[in-house]
Formats: sequence, structure tokens, C-alpha cells
Amino acid sequence: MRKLMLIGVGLLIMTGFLPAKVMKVQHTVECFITTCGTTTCYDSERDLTHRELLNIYDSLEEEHCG
Amino acid sequence: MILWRKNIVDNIKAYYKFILLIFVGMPVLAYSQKNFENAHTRAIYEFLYKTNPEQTEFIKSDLMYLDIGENVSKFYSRYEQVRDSIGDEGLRKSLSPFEINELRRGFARGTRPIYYNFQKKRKTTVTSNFSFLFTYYNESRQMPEWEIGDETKVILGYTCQKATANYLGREWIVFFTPEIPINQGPWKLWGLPGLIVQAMDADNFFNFTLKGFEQLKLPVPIIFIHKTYDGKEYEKKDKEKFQQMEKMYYSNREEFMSFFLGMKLISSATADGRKIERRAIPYIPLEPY
Repeated sequence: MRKLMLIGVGLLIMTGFLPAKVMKVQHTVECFITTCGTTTCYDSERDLTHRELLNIYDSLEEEHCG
Repeated sequence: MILWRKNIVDNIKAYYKFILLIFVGMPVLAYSQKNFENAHTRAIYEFLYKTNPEQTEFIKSDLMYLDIGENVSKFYSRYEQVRDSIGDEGLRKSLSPFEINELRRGFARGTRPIYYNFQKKRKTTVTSNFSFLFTYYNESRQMPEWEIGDETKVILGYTCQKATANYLGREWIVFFTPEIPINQGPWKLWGLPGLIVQAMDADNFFNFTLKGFEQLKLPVPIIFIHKTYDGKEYEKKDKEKFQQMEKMYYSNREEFMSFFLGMKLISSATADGRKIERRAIPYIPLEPY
């Protein structure tokens, strides 16, 4: 019974029905310190590009520092 | 002391060189984007707006360019155009977000959406970004059902006539001038026998007023910006989805970042270590949801 369940789960993973929950996902922590001294940290599921980091930084500047 | 002064002078020189490079280098950005056509006319508007219905005065201002070509016009914030150009140049030089922000210091923020109005196709494309998600939507361009009144006034030397229409969720009061026979105007407003010189909504949340008008002597390309600096195409959404994103972006930034960008907030604190309570960012959309 247990073997059957393992085979079943294996098949689900292979066919893509259980990707994120079973496979290991790499996380990255990014922290942003604005000019008015606030620090905000996010957990990202992937590495962000330089441009994406700038966009987040800019939106935090606008939100926290005006 | 002299050495210290020399350093400051060198830094100022470097700063101005950098800014000069941005303006000289602006056309380079255009290579990766689509050039619709050249504009023949430019109208410049001051855009005053409120971010909360309870405000008694306009607390924000922007400088908007309306570049008009044969088939398409583009309405965008000059302030944001400058800030974006500095950002792109900083990225090209691999500067950090902090350094780029320092270079942008002193340059006012503007409004992010860009409106491309296609006269003959009767279509409007709106692009914008919410944090690092760049997106756009298309919609058909409906003509407002204007009621032309008798009231006139002179704005910027042009004799203007009043017109009103209920359009895209708001009551708009505008003044247009038959002296400039172009049926365009700020934002999505159009369809009068003359350029719209001033536009206000009945709630007094928004005010566009013409500050300059010129026939362009040199060709100014109307560039459709549809890719980010790193070459990623903007994501196409339908208008409803776009508005949902906009609403969430301003009402619940944390949820937006998590839901649309996969960024989960770990912590947010002030300089003295106090936790920042997340709150809605005051915002009134031009087109109510």
C-alpha cells in the first residue's frame, strides 16, 4: 500500500501536479534601506535582477520617504 | 581644505557630466522600443491632483506632455520620463539602487501611466508599472458625449469654450479652443472641435491646464515603451485586471507584493527599530473602479 502511494506521488511529481510543494524552492532574502532610514526585508522565490531591485527600492522610497 | 573643496568640485562636475550623458543618451533607449511616428505638435499641461477626497487643496503636481502625431498621440509625465532616464543610465553603469536614488534626488516624481491614443484605430493603450511588474492594457476609444455650453474664458491667450461630459466614471468640465483645431486633450479626453486647454472633474480631484503649445520643428519620435531596461516585455492584462492590480497596489502593498510578485514581507522597521504598520497609500484613480 505504502509503495503504491509512493509510486502515485512520484507520478504526480513527474506529471507536474505537485511541483512547488514537493520540489525544493530556493529562496532569497532581500533587504532595502531607504534614505529616511527604514529597513524592509522580503523573501523572494528567485534572485531578482538589478532593475527589479531598483523598482522595489524606488517604491519603498516613495512609500516611506515621500 | 583645498583638497576637500577640489573633491566637491570634482563630484559636482561628475554629477553634471552624468546628467548630460543621460540627455545625450536618451535616444539610445529608443533603439529597443517601437517608434510609432514623429510628433508634429506638443501640448504641455500642468496636472494638479489630490490623493484623498478630504484634501481641500491639490497636494500633488506633475508636468504632462501630449505629443501629437498623424495617427497617434502620447500623454505622459515629463518628470517620470527624466527619472526613468536617470534610472536606465544608472543601471547601464551598474550603479546600486541607492546610488541611482541619490542621482534622482531633486527630480520630482510624476505619475506613472502613459497613454497612447490611436485616433484612426479608435484605440487606447495604457502602460504602467507597479513595483517591478510592468504591464499594459488596450481599450477601444469611446468619444465622450459632450454638451457644449456658452461660457467662455481666456486661458494662455486662447479664447476657450466650456463643454461637459460624463465620461469613464466622472463628470468632466473642460474648456477647449477652436483656435487650435486639434480634437485632442489631456488623459483620455478628446472629441471637441479644438484642443482641450483645461479639464477638471466635478469633484475637484483633478485639474489639467495647458501651459505651453508648440509646433515641433525637430522630429520628436512617439516611442511605444513596451520593454523594461533588461528587455522584458510588458505583461498584457485586460483593463479590469489592471485596475484590480492598481487598487491592491495602493490599498494593500504587502498583499500585492506577495500575490503578484512572489515577494513575502519579512519585516519593515523605522530607523529607531519600530515596526512599520502597513497602511493604504492615499490615491484617487482618474477612472473610478
